[in-house]
Amino acid sequence: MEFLQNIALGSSVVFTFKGLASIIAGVVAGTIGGAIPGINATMTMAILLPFTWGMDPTAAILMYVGIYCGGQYGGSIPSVLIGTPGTPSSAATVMDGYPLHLQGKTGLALGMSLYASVFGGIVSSVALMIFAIPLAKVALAFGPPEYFALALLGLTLVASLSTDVFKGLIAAALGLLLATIGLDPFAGIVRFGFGSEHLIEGFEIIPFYMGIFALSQVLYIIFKKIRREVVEYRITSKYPSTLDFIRCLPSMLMGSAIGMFVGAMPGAGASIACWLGYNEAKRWSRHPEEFGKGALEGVAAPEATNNAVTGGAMVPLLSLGIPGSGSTAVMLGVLIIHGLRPGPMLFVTNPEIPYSIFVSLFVSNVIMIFVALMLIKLLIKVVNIPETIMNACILAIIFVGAYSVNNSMFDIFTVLLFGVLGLIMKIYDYPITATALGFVLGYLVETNFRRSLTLSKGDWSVFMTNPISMVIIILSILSVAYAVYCNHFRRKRGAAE
Amino acid sequence: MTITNKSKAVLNILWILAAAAFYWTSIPYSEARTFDPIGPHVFPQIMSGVIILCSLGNLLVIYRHSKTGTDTPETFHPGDALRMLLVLVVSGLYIWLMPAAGYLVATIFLIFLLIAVQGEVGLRVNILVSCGFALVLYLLFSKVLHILLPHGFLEFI
Repeated sequence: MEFLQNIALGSSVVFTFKGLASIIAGVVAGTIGGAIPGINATMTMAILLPFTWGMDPTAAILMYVGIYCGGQYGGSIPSVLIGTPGTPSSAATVMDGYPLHLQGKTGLALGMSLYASVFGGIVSSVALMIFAIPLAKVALAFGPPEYFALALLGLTLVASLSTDVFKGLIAAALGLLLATIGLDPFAGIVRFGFGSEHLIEGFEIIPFYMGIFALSQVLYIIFKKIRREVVEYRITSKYPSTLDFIRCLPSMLMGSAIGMFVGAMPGAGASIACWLGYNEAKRWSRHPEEFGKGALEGVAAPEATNNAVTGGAMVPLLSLGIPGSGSTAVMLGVLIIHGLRPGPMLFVTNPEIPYSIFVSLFVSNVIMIFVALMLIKLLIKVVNIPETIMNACILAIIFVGAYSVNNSMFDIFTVLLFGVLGLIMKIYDYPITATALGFVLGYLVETNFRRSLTLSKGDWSVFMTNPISMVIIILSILSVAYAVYCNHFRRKRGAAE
Repeated sequence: MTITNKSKAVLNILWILAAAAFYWTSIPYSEARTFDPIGPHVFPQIMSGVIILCSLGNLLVIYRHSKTGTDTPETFHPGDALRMLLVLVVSGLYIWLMPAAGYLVATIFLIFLLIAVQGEVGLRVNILVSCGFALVLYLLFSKVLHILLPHGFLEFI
């Protein structure tokens, strides 16, 4: 009964002019961002952060749910039309989407990618409700040691799943270190302020995200001279029939389940999930030989998977307050700048926020059908804007947006600083998501670390005497140890070859 | 141009130096009065330690790779790197120009120079885009989002 009342509360927020307009704006922006190769949902979210400044928290978060969903789908458009994924999470869609386009079945491929994305998104929104609420209830009993251990696990998993565990750990520790700049939460002294009045409160989240996610990516596009092909669009075949949909249903179900599970794991993300979904669909297919040559299931499975990741990734964010990916880290940032802290207490203090997210995830996916069908020609015109103009315009939005946060040139300087840092990390293959997660979780990690030690009167064994935190810390250590072992084994094999 | 093991090693040395600087700076914080038993200096010192240890690990890996000759340098075009550096210089100029010249003039210059630096777009399109987009952004931030943008010498706007 309480659940239904809360869903009604969430619906009352979503089904208003402001709520629906925010979702539509988010889906359109996310689809455009996802459809432009080189730009992904996280970058789109980072660019649009200043626009949320004047919005109320629910409208801002609804827009971000829309961007997240639209971004996952948008990536499939260039995957089908030019054989280049718009986002890493749409890489597997190229395998069969592009051959279908070459066979003149563009409508079939684009239609199936849309339907599968919507299917995966809707399944994951239902699963989000099923898993997030009980997990949040369990997390209500967590104390500082458990929270410290959980945040640590999130960070070590992200670091372990990067290409090199040392680089991952450096990136995560760097984020945590950057978060310590500013006023100390316990002693009230300014740490690493170097006499600057701008650093008393530390670096602002918005310029930090705009620099590390958005500016670094634009600089990387220029540095690597990433060029896009012109996307041509004409419907050369019918959209998928009901029979096609039913034929692909098992692949979509499998993809949705994989996407949900992988999405909930910190660090794994949609780019890994889409390949898992594709491979499983191929393994269980009656005609695996058709995969790679234009199999419709080969489009349905990865697209259902990458959109199902959205619901999965929001489970730890909403129930524990711990994001597991770049996109959810930006969403956490949106909530923080509006004075809200996701986690189990949010369900008690501001139930309209988590429940409106549940409803909006469902609604965003339904809206996505109309946005994609009605605006696809317009979206492709935007995607076809030359990259030199696009890069310059994005940079202008980033700088003006950063300035608008505090009307301060220092924020533009912060964007530049973290843009260059992000670029260097990208060039040398350091995971910037780990730095972003470390930065946004820094306060939570440090305060809970110090609170635990305060409660135990300085006894460091507090983390190992508490059974839940002990298990989580052991898991963190194992994840790092396993990653070190795998890296060593991989290097040895590389040297032997 | 290539990204070699030597440049990777330099980056790891820079990480170590930066982390050591953080560690060194945090030492005086141990004297701050606080009610928690560890104080404000321990957490940054642990993080600095993690960065130093992992960077040393990376250096060891790079050293062993250079001995076995498994260095696979990544290549990039110097022209693109120069273009990227010019974009950074133009962005730095923007920070310097905006307070004096105001938002509108500085942003028109920013977009114009950014497009010009990257090339491939004609002068007429460049002027049109830089003036048009700067104006759209001005209207969006100033009139819709009510952000006070610096006017510089165009204070009468």
